[in-house]
Amino acid sequence: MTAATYRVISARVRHQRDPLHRWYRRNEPTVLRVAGVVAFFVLWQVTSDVGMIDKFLFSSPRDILVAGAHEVTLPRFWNDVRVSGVELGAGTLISVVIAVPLGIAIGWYRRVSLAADPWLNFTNALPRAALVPLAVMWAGLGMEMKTLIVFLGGFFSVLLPTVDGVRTVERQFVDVARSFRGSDLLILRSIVLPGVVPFIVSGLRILVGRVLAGVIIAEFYAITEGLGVMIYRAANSADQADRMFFGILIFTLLGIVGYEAVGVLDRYFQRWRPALDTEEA
Amino acid sequence: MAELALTARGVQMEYRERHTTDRLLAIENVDLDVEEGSFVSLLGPSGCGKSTFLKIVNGLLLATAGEIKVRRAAANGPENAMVFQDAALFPWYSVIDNVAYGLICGGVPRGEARRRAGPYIELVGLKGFAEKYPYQLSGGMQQRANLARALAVDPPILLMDEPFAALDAQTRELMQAELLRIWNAARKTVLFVTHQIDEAVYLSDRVVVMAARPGRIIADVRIGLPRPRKLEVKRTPEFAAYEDRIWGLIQHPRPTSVAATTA
Repeated sequence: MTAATYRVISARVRHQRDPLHRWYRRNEPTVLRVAGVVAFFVLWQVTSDVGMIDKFLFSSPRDILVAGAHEVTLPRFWNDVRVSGVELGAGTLISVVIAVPLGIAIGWYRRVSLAADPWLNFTNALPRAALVPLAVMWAGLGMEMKTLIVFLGGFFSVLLPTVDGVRTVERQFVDVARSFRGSDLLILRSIVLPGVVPFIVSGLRILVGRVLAGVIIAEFYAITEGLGVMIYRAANSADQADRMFFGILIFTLLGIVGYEAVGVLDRYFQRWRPALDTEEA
Repeated sequence: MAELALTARGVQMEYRERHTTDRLLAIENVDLDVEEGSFVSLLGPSGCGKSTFLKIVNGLLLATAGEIKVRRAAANGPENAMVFQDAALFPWYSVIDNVAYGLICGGVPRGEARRRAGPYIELVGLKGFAEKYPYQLSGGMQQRANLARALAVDPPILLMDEPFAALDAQTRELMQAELLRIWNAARKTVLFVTHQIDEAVYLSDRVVVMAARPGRIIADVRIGLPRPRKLEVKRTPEFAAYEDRIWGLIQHPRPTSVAATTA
């Protein structure tokens, strides 16, 4: 009789690691993200310096910074920032303030929903850029028109998810409230609103891109004032690529700030949810 | 004889099926008397209409025929309160806000509702968990909070819709014993829906056996086991005899007219 042989499956061995390694392990996602961004800009600068890419067309990070440093000394630049900022802020605020209650009403009342549905689909399918000349006819070339275009972009990106969110509110929770004779207003506050928040938040993520696109489209069309106009006019200057990229960079940063703000909002409203990524012991 | 907490006569619930003209009789002609302070179980397979009957008593559904008389509560509080099947706790509220929810529905200001909820959290054994969120509780603890929410509005009748069905076997047994302890402390009339024979026998003064298609009462068995009952009672011959008898009734349902007198 031959003796049985065994393979040993051992427990994981924990290696003692140096502090630097441990720090890296903890911060790996952040480190890699930063490294990716830095690597891109370094590569851009180097290929531009050695002449692999055309500076005139593609600029370089250093030239963009130089152009930007000059730009921020101009009063016109700060006026552009103010104008675009007001358009973005007002358009976004008005769109959210109207879209959320309207979306809740459409989602909650079946009759409102049936009457509104065709219009929702129609207006959502309509390309907003096509409305710009019409908006100019109504509201002129000033900030009102551009705010309107921003509003249209933000409005539908929040309205549609809000409607969906209300429609997916769990029946069971409504039953609990009805069982205890809760009023409709209480159901709205205690069940519909918390349930719809994640949907509003995902709408806000879409909104960030839409309102930025809206302000650029409107400013390109009107060519009065604003950061979009700054990019547009840079085309006629000697350091055109540098200044255009600087304008693009500002919009990119606005987008990032917008997304981050939505993220903060999201985490605040979702603190009752279990954390998904628990640290490995 | 004790006063009646609830009387149902000829209760019927009929659904019209979608897209067809077929009618589905969920409950047919249910008569039921529930004595005040008693623990009565509605026992039957899925589809026998036991949960539907509970929802009719609660007011979540309107019967298509018949009538139910419920004894009015003192101080215009609710006449009954429901303990839901899946704990149905709002995930965005802490335990205390969930337990206070029934009171808030009744118009009690939040601060006072939370204060009044406190003792019920203790009663169901959730002391120290008031500020936790539902996801931080086990299934059994969630059901305790579900029960506390119903108890907090101090209803004369407690309606319980298979509250332990989703729990694991050991937790379920413990919760059954806990429920008897709480019932003893709170002195409520309980109408308890379950499909588990041993659960019904262990908890109840009376087990009302129902059959499906159409949903109807086929037997009404009085459980004479002495109280207070410990979990060990489940291993006695008397307990097994009740289980056997009810199992027999479920397997060979007799016509309604004859069965109604089994007691």
